[in-house]
Amino acid sequence: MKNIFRISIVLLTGAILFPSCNKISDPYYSVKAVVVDTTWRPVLLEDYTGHLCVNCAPAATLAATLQELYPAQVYVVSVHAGQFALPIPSNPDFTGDYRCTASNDWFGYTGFNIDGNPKGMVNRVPFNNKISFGTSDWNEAVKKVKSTYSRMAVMTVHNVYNAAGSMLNSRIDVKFLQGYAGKVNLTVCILEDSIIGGQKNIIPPDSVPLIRHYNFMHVLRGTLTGSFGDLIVTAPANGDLITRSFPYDFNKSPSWVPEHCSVIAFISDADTKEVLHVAKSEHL
Amino acid sequence: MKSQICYFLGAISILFLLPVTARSQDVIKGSEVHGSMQADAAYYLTDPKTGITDSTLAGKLIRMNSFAEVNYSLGNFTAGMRFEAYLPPLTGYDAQYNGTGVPYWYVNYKNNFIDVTAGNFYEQFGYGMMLRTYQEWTLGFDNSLRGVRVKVMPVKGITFKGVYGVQRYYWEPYKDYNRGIVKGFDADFYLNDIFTSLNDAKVKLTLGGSFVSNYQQGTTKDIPYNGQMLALKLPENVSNYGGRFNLNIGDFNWFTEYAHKINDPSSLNNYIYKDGDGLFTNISFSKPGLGISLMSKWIDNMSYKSDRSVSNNMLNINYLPAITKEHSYALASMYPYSTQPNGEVGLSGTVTLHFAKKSPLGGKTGLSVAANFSQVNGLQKKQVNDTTFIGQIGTLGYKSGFYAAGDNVYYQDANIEVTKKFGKKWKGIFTYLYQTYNKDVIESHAPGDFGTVYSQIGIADIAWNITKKHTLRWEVQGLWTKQDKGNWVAGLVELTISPAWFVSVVDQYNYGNTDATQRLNYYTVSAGYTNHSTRIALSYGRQREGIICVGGVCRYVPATNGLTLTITGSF
Repeated sequence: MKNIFRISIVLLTGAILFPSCNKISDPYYSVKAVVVDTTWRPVLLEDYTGHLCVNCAPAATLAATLQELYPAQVYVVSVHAGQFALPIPSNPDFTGDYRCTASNDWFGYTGFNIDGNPKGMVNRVPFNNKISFGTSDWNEAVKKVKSTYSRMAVMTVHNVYNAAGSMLNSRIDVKFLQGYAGKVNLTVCILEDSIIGGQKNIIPPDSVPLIRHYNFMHVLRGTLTGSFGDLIVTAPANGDLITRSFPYDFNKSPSWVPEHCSVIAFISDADTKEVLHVAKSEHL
Repeated sequence: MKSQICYFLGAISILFLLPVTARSQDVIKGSEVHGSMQADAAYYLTDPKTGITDSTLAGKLIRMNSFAEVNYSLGNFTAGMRFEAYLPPLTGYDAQYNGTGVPYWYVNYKNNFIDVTAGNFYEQFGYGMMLRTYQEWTLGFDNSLRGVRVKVMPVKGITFKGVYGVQRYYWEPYKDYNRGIVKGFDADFYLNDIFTSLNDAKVKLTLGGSFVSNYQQGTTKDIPYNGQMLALKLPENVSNYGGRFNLNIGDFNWFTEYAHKINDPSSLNNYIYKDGDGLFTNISFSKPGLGISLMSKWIDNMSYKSDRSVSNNMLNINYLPAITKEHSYALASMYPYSTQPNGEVGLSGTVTLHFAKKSPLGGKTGLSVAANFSQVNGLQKKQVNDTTFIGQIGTLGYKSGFYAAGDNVYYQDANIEVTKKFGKKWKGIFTYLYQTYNKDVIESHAPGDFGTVYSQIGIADIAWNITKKHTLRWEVQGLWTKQDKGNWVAGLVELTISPAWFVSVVDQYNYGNTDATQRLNYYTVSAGYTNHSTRIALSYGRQREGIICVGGVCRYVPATNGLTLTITGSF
């Protein structure tokens, strides 16, 4: 009798503690309406990628979807860097080298020490204590940044492109909407869309090992400033307006298609590298 | 750099002295103190031939992984803790381990009726397909639970266990439901003890059952997909339950465990809602001179973690059994198998024979032969309907039948090992292996990227007892394959001077690499000293890139070059 009592007590305790399980039935999801609120700080999503990385094509799709869902709020830069971005001269599908000085600097250990592809950074602020993180965190990180950080500035990117001489002059205007205690850098980048090349792949529905004519978008081609920007102001006050112009001669880069290029500019804290504001132009 | 070296040497000295200064002692009469420690430190050098540059070393030339564990017991009470330091972690270990702290501590009280642990604990229900927490230092793996564990033994032959806690995730503390809360209950019935009439029966039977549930906060997750934002419905409580039996009749033993997991969409299964199933069975027979073991497993969508967004090895709640043989020789372990939690079907068999001395095959000194075969295939998966592709997010994912093996061979290993003594001073172990290794699947590459590696491996391991104290051992190994990096040859010479010293020279040469610049020698010179329970080993050389697996759980090991110091001790 004593034993039966003991066993009953244990089984009863177990039954009380562990009954939990939730069965979900079809439909397993709903399509959610996305609220675009441009009163918050815009988001720079850096997609660290490579044409040899099998998981990078779906990551690029995810980044593009986020940019599409949040127009004028999310800006994607595809940063080709690391082992998976190396060109393979002997393989015609992977001869393209989409790396540049800035992509290598950002990826390397003197930059953000990215440990693989695909990885993302969202305004260069940590998410779950990590400065760069996998695709499963991108959406949550974007949501957090764009609804937590107040708008710091208004920026415009005004391009004048002389097609005959292949000369670009890009003027960036930054007007601060609030004071900021730190030093502020400005980084100006050239992005190129519609670069066609080979991309390794693994994820359905395109679960072919090689997408031979992959369309690379938002490819970081280089910066018109230093890789981590140029210092433009220290402790700006509310209302401060700063203008900088950057010329660029496209003859230096004959493989680039100017009509597919755009300019993206962002201001960042010179010490922490946190992105404070970002703006992007249309194609040249 | 100077301060880095001083810090490194200081840390090593403390860990080295620990076993000497902290011996078992009677702080209170009847109490005991035991512990262990290990320090693995490395000084890395650049090696352009293997792609190791200043950039890849990231300025962190000296790295160390170390721990010291102390356990104190007095009567029915035990308490312990483990200090760990990764300053920074050795290459190949997750950078998130960087730091120091005490990730493991516990207090325990137990008597004949109850066993209660508060703090961290390692636990296993059955074979582990529903719950297993453990630590594997070589993998950088630790999924210990922190909370409470209660074991109750109400009558002889019956054990109930209950666990309730959160798992370790590097150094990240648990707060605000940032990962799941794991609850589990297990019951084990050894019928021969419960029923006195069966006490002496030849047939021995144990039955068991477990129920585990993970609570992860959040009923929805937004996932951008195909230009839309999908709000996935998530189960906050995911259960995994099943049963097992162990039947023993004399030399024959049969163990089987089945587990069923309800819908558990996660980043690892691409957020599909299919239930999971797992079945493992092991039949063995042994008598003097003969051992036979047959194992099989069926795994279908059985990854079970306390955070559905984590896709590496961390936060595993359960353990999916490995049935392939783990090899210790360098070339035999070049292509190890890594369990595929999303689905696999496998079987293996091992026969060991020992021919006694003076028998026709045993000769004067006896002969041992062990043959093993294992194969693991992918699952046969079918679309749930015409408009849903296999594995599509936010769907049931796929359909698959019981033990429905697909055509895709993930791994195959056929090997035979012969052990023979030649007189009193010579002993040889000769091994042949034929392995099939689906590199794309096992290493998560794109299909067709590397393809499947077919390799033949031959190994001769000879030991010569020169004197009672001196043993010279050497290995000659060859691996032949037309795929991947091509052929390898390896050699080892090791001199052991009992009981304290050893020195060895190892080289692996990738002479068959189609890239002539990669036909490299991976050489290592090692020496070690053992004093009672303390062992110090120092090695210098180049380590090849590869994968190390323990129990089907694997870690990528990058190529390195440099000096390695390992100190282990216990008291």
